[in-house]
Amino acid sequence: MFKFEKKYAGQWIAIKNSSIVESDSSLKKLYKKVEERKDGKLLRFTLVPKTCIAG
Amino acid sequence: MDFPYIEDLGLEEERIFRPMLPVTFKANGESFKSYALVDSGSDYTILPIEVAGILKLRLTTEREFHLQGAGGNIFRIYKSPERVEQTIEKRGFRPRKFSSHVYFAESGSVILLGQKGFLDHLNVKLKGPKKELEVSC
Repeated sequence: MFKFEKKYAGQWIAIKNSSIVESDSSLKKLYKKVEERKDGKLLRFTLVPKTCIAG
Repeated sequence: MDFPYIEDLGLEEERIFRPMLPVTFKANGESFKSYALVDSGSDYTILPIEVAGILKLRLTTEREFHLQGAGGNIFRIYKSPERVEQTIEKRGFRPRKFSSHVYFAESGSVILLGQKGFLDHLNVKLKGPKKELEVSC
């Protein structure tokens, strides 16, 4: 089971095989950071919520 | 196809679990692979507006709408100008694929997989005690 770590709260993270490979507060900047990676097409992106969600 | 929930910390640092799915959004030859929250309380699928740029979707004010959040706040969303392909994949299973309009919000939040355009295409079962989601057609 994948787990959000507290240190990434409010950050966008790039995930490969259940491991976080990169993070940034901006999705655009995160995309830039990982665009040169050979495994870039395999990465999944998600926002770690700053706090709990109600919706 | 079963998918494990994603674990996070709750308001009092307790363990909480969210039903999230690996979804790939595709449009204009571009794709965005994500983990997104299954939200049966959301009427639509909502993505952050930055994703529209990644998918090369041109949003216009002609397709601007307003939604009410759970806290009563009203926020602006933009409808995708075209249908966006959505795929759920798991190794060893046939991918589930469909297309629908999605919406983009300026408020940076997690991707919400809502009723119209997502949950109306699939059977999604929340298996709370097992902390798993079951997806079928």
